[in-house]
This record gives sequence, structure tokens and C-alpha cells, in this order.
Amino acid sequence: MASKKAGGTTNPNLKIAAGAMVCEDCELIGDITIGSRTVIHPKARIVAESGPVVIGEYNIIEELVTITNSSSTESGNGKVLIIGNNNVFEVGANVQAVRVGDHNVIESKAHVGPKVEIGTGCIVGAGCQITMAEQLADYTVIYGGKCERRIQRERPPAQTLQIDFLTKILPNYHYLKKPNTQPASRTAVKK
Amino acid sequence: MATYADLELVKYLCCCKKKFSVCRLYLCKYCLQLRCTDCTQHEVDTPYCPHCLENMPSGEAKLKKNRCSNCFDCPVCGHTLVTRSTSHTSPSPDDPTKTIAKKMYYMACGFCRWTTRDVGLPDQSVASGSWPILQNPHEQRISSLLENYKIMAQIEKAEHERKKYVSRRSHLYRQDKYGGSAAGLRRKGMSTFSSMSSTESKVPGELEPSVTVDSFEPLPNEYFTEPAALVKTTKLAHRHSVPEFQPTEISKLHPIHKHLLMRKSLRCKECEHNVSKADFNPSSIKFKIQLTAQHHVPEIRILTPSTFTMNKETIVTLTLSNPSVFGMTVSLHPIEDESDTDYCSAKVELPKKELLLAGRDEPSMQMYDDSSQADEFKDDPKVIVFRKGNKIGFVVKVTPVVNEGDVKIQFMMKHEFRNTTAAALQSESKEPEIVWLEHKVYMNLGPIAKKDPNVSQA
Amino acid sequence: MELQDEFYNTSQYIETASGNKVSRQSVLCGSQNIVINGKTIVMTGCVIRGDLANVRIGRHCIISKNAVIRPAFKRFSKGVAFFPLHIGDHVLIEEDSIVNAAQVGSFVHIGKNCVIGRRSVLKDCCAIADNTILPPETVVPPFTLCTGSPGKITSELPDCTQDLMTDITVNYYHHFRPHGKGK
Repeated sequence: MASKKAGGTTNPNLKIAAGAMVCEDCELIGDITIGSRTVIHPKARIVAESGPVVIGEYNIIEELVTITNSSSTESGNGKVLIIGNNNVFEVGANVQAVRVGDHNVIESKAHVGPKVEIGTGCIVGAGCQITMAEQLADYTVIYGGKCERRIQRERPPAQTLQIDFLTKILPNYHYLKKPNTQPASRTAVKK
Repeated sequence: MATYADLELVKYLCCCKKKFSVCRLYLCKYCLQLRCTDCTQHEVDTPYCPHCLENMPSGEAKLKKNRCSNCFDCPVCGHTLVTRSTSHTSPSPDDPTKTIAKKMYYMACGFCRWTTRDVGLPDQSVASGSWPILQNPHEQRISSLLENYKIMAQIEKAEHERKKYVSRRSHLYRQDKYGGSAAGLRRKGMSTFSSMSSTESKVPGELEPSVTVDSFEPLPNEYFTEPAALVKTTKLAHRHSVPEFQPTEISKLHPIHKHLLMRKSLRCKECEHNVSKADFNPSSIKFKIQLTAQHHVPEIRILTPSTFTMNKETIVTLTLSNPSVFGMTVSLHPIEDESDTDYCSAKVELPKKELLLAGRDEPSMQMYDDSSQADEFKDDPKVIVFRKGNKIGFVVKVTPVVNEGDVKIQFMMKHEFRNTTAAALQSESKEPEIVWLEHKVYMNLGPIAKKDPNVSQA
Repeated sequence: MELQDEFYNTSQYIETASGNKVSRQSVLCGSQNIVINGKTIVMTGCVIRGDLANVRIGRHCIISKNAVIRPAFKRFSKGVAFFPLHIGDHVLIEEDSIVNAAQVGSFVHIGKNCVIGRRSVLKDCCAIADNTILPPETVVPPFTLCTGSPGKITSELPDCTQDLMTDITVNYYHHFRPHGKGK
């Protein structure tokens, strides 16, 4: 059972930069911009109904991840959810944050609530939930059953090598969404 | 977590009057009694590290305080640390214009991301085994105490032996009174007498007693003036994990050697035969000896949940499966002297006839044949609802006598058991002796429906 | 309690010659790299990532709804490699669990909503309680139960775990029955 073509209607507001790997079998709703070299695995879900979602470069979004712009209850009225560069969203993560900076890891089954702002080099551990309105300090690690916190010395390593590997291997097995913009739009990603 | 099929509903009474599900019980073939882990003797077979799964001889484990020398736990979250390598470039000593790359290792936690670098431990040039060992500040005192107690134990033992050195058994126990008795001490009998003269010269009492503290230094001022830095302070669990240092600051945490686990064997306390002895290899799931009750005692289960009302007879279908490869006859009897009042919330009508069970036949287990075994066994369809290989479904009639809570019943199960122990085989001209075993069975059939017709659904 | 019958719609499941029952609503990426040995059930919403590396699943396994089986990667100095994932026989993986392990032995029970960290090794006859988070590279020895976050060994399993797991998985397969004919 090879990955089936998701078919369906094409999203006119979807902007994929050249070099990005976006599997066909994922759900992208609303105004979404995906930066160069970002990998989106099948079965990921990005919902930009209440406002646009802008995803930077070198991000990995794994299967069953849900990224939702929930800045507003009304559709199309909210602010832009900007996700920086070099972030990893692991299987089953659920992110609704206000903003996600660079070099963060949101591990499996983690939940980031709608009023959370994530800075740089943070790790939200597997199964951890953050729901309070807050701005995570840079290099924060949240881990364990009680969502304990500590500050790490270094930011998590960039996953460039994994992206290289996935870029090579994913086209062999999956239909990909065609890029429609040039990576020159890099400035748009920077906040 | 209960196992997938809820096994806690049916319990068998162990010979020590505790109730366990059949998978937790053992059947001692020699005493023909059920034994549980509480009424057997536990013996350490081999300590092993749960991470690297390597055996360690008991003596060495004792010396290393039951910890693995190569594996470490994270002092912050307790997860096992992994060794990471980095290449470190330094100027070559011969030629300052060149640099040489050298692999350096540090340890990191994959869960909370703590690293040995966080507390300023220098990276090591070899992957394992070179991490500095912290010196216990009280080591000298502890070892002098230990030494003293060893001498005391020796003297005490010698005195005891002098009084009655015939009774060897009690002296064996006494020998170990203060633990770490030297290897020489372990030798029995006369050898200790000869060494006695030398030990007796060392009279205890040279030990200086601990000093009582009657005043403390007042707390430093910054405890009152500075805001508490919770990020830098350790938690109680952190301190308890290293009782000898009990660091108060996060920056003083060190990797903790991993605790060993052990493979143990269980021995029947009555006849001293092993009822369970695991394989030597920690990653093996084989047993050298395993007399789990699951392999010998027929297992009763509830087929489907049913609804109960007070004083109303309900038919409950139970299943009975035969674990042995031979056919088996089982009979069920009520318990005359119902001692356990907790398990008589219902009257139960048991099948009067003996239940015949076919033997367990592994290859045909996988198949699903409804071949009419019923004719073969001449089953009464009113009692035996179905028959599938070594399993039958039979009905019991249950009448709850209380109006709320769980329906709990008890009965006695008698079943055949082929005794294949060597002793039994010799006595009876090589034909295994068939004995009848009796077990008390306690079952929880589920809650009684409330009187209110609106909530009849349980 | 004996296992109760669970019915599935025949149109929703594909039954292979070796007796595997695979939901049409499951996602098997890189199916040419996935070997399922027989009499294994893969339920609705499961994701098995055979595209990343080979995945081998033994006989009589149950992969419950929305579970994810995903080979784990490791970074080396010259790139990354995804490790093949082997799952033994008679393994029960309950709903919503994510398995990133390197190896899962036989007779293993993984509860609901667990995360099995990258390159973990679950030996034969071990169990992971519901909602456990097992950090990367954890080793779970036989006859132990892991619970909590981070998952730690908290209790022992009975000696007859092998028989219990065989019984459960074989019975589950027998009780997992078709309901109605396909369209």
C-alpha cells in the first residue's frame, strides 16, 4: 500500500519554497508559508484558519503533528504564527503557540498551549503540556511527568544531517507537493 | 497496569492463606501445595546491570555496593546517561602550527539534557571507566566502625563457639551478624579457633565515640537577605539519591552509578526444592526450573460480564482450561466452612458432575476447529456450553444475597495432577502417579445492579 | 475475564494469505520495507514508517488504533542513519503509543499512550504501563514493568509472562472477527 495521492482541492494560499519537502499526504489548511529545506512528513496537520502560519527553514515536522494558529476565535482575523528555523516537531506533538523561535525541539505528544511563546533552543519534553500564558526563556528544557524545568547550556544540535537524509529518501516513497516560490523569500521568514 | 485480560478477578488461595491470581502462584511438586512469592525463600542468583545487561558475581557486586561500574544515572531525572563523543582540537606539541583532533567523551542525559559539562566535570579521553570517584568525607569513620564491629562479631562468635560448638546451625547465622565478615571467618570450625588468639588481642574500645553536637552555627545572613534560587537548589529526591554527600546545589550533582537488579530463584520453604530458577543470562527468558501454577493448575475465567440483581438467580458462564497435555478431571465443590466472609455475597450452584478436560495440544491450538468434541465426552449441554480443545465453558447459577457491591463467590476445585517427580516415578512402576489436588478459588463476578430501574445497566 | 469478541468491518480490513489483518485506514509508508510475519493485526490510524528503514513485525502481534511504529535515527559524524526496527512475536501495542525503539522483543506489552524513545531496547517479556514516557536509549530487561515519566522499572512481571502474552495475543486474534460483508 504505497502512499496514496491525497487528491482533494489544491490550497491557493499555500506557499512552498523550493527545496522544501512537503508530503502530499498531509493536511494543510489556510494561508501557510513553508520555507526552504523544511521537511513535512505524511499525516502532519497545519491549520491556519484563524490566521496565517509561516514556517521558516530547516524545520522537521513529523507525522501526526498538529500546528494550529489559534490567535483568534474568528477565522482569518488573527495574527501570523511565525515558526523560525531549525525546529523539530516530533511525532504527535500539538502546537498552538503564539510564536516559535529557532532551534527548538517539541517532542512526541507534547502540547504547547495557545498563549505560549517559545524562544530559542527550548525543548518541550515528550508528553509535557504547557498551557499557561508565558514566554519560555531561551534554552529551557521541560521534562518529566511533573513538567519540571531546567536551563540547558547549549541549544539542541541542528538536524541538518537528518534533513539531508530525509530529502534524499522521502521522494522515493511519497508524492510531494510542488514548491511554488523561490527561496529568495527568506527575508519574509525573518521576523 | 493490570494485564490485558483482567486476571485479578479470579484468585486462588495459597497455602499461606493469601489470595493470588494463578499466574503469580507456584505449585511445589514435592509438597503438592501452592506457594506464592511471600511464602517462598528468595535467593539472589546473579546481580546484573539493567542497562548493559551484564552479570556481576555476587562478591564483586557487594564490593561495588550493588552498582554497575560502567553505567550511570542522571542525577537530575534518574534516566541512564549516554556517552557522547566530541572531537577536540588542540595545538600539536611538536609543531605549534598544526592541530591534532582528539576524541573526547562526556555524558549526557537524553531526557532532561543534563550533561557532565553542566557541573564542570572535564571531558574524558576514554569512553568509559575513567570518571572520577568522589571520596566519601566520612569514609574513614565508617571503615573504622566497620572494622570494630567485625572484631566484635568475631569475639562474640568465638565466645559462642566455646560455649556450645556442637550446634553448628545457629553459629552459621551468628557469623554474619555484622555483615562484611572476612573470607577467613567464613571457614567453619577449628580454623577460627586458631585465629582467635590473634584477634582477641585487639580489644574493641579504641574506637572514639561520636561527639554530641549541642549548638549549631547560626544560618548565614544571605539565607535571609538573598532571594531563594530554586533553579540552583537540589530537591529532596536528588539529595536522597546520594546519601553520602547530600548536595544542596545543582552544580554539585555527579553522575550516579546505576543500581544493579538481580535474578533470583525461589525455594519452597517446606521441602527446600526450587520452584523457580531463572536462566543465568539476564536477557534470557528461559528458566532452569519453573513450577508456576499456570502450567499445572486448571485456570478458571469468566466468559462474559453479566448483570446481577439481589435474590435473582443468574446464569454465569465460566471457562476452565487445562494446562497439561494429558486429559484432566476436575470437580467443583462448595466450601463447607465458609471462613472468608468477604467472598460469600452470593449463593452459587456448581455443576454436580465431574468436568472432563481434554489435554492441551499445541499445534491444534492455533486452529479454530469446532469439531464435535462434545460427542466424544458425552457432555450435558445444560452444564457444558462449549468445548474447544483444552478449554470448556460451563455454567454456574449465582444468586446474590446482598444488595450492593460486587458479587463474590468461592468454591473448592479438585483436579487431577500427574506427579512426575523422580520420587513418585520410582515408587509406582514408572507410571506417573495421579493425585488429586484441592484449591480454594475466589471469584469476583462484577457489581450488583442497583435497585433503581433507571440505572439497571451496570 | 475472557476476551470479548471485537468486530470489524470486512470492507475496512485487508486479510493477507498469512493471516495478517491490516486496516485500510492505516498508513504503511514504504510498504516494500515492511515485513509482517503473520496473524498480526494492524488497526485503523496506525502509521508504520517503512520508508525510513526496514520494519519487521513478528507473528501474532497487535498494533492498536493510532499507534506509530517508526524506526529511530542516530547521528554519526558523517550523516544520519535510521535503524531497522524489529518487533518480536506476541507483542501487544495499545492505542496511541509511539514506538521509536531499535528492538522490541517477544511477549512485550506496551500500554496506551506511551512514547518509547529513540533506539530503546525492549527485551523479551517486559511491559510498559499506560502513559509511560521512555526516554531515548532505554533498555528494559526481561520480566520488568516500566512506569512513569521518565519510565523507570517499578515492579516485576510473573514468571509465566510468556504464556500470558501468548494467550492474550492468540485469543485476541481469534476474537477479532469480521462483521458483515464488504461493499
